[in-house]
Amino acid sequence: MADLIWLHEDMLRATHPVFAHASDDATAIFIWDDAYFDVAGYSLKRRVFLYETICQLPVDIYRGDMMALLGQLAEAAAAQKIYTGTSPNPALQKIMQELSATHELTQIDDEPFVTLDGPADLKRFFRYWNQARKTAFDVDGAN
Amino acid sequence: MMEKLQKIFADRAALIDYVRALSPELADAPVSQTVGGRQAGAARLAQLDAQSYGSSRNYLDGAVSYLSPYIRHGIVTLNETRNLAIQQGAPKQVEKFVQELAWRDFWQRIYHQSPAKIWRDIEPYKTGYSADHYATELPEDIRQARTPSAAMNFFIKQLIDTGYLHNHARMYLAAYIVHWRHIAWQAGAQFFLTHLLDGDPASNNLSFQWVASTFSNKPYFFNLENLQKFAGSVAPCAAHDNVDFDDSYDALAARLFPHSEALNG
Ligand SMILES: Cc1cc2nc3c(=O)[nH]c(=O)nc-3n(C[C@H](O)[C@H](O)[C@H](O)COP(=O)(O)OP(=O)(O)OC[C@H]3O[C@@H](n4cnc5c(N)ncnc54)[C@H](O)[C@@H]3O)c2cc1C
Repeated sequence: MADLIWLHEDMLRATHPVFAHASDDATAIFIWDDAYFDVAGYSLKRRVFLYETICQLPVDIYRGDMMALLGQLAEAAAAQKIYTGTSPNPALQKIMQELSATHELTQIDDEPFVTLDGPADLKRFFRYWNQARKTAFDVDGAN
Repeated sequence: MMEKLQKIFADRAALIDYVRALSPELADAPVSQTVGGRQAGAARLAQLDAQSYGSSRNYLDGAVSYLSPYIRHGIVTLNETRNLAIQQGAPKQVEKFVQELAWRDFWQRIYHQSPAKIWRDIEPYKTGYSADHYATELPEDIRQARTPSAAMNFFIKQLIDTGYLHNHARMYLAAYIVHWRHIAWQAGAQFFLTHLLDGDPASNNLSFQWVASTFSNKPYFFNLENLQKFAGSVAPCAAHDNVDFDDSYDALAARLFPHSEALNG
């Protein structure tokens, strides 16, 4: 049974680590959800930019409601596991949460920019920068 | 039946027509010349000049990377961009550029930590006005690039036509909306998110809050001299077309923030 890879708008890259985590024969999909774009207020030029990007990726594009289609596609592919990328977007987080209730969903982080040696201090940028700069000039943000 | 969409097109025009047909209510809206996809993002990356960036980045015609739409959607990563930048010079020579990448990382971490907060004032305004002073709707003259300022109209048109604005132009336009026009940052932020190809709730809303002073210690504002210095080679910055900004910082502070003692010391 193949895995299902669900790409969303924060992870539009064929080298995203999600592809290495899922099985080789996984089916990858993007869901073109007009209502999601409408709520976000995306202009036509944003939609064209996204569409053009997605066309270059190894995914099938389906049109419809994200939540409903994810369930249907997982069923159609008899997928046991669904893989996707983490996102701070509350709309995507909500879908991931609902999906986890019925499916085995794994969220994969994108490659990190820096490695911090403690919890991030996010009160002001320069406090954060003082932590981040320790690895910000190292390859892969790791020393 | 699940509706599977087309992926292969004869050319870009055909793809654009297809997306127009998917969004009929937006069909007459402009499309940017900026091309999507990894190939276009990689081409941008190949043009990176992280050293020249340091000295020229504040000018509207400076050596900025134009990578933002690609980074926003994960097409190009902050990590690979930094890995390339550090090959172009010693840490000191590429520090400014790497630091700007860190701004994005910083905003994303805040968004991850409190996703629901992204539309709320993080702190009170430090302008001498409370939040309810600011109008919640963006006026039509701003939407249609018909404000009294030629430079602002130029930026608004550029935003709508290309989906991109230089960082300094974003600061000018955001400050104009919030401090000259007394519009809540949220209304300006939604307008930007609609049009920017790199529109990102974290980078955009938190930058707006930085300008507004709800996530900084004081409001950001500018005067004509600053506008002419950094934007003059690109935008129409003549004094008679931009009278609202033609003053000293002290005089502008007194006019824009009359109730703030801290800003009129
Ligand atoms: C009011 C306002 C709204 C903004 N809205 C957005 C937005 O919606 N999306 C967005 O990505 N950036 C936003 N920015 C930040 C910044 O203006 C853009 O990232 C930058 O101008 C994009 O152009 P560039 O790729 O040529 O940037 P460069 O200067 O070449 O920087 C390289 C990359 O670093 C990141 N970066 C640079 N500066 C910043 C910054 N100040 N904050 C966060 N990331 C940064 C971007 O990913 C950018 O692509 C906003 C800034 C302001 C003042």
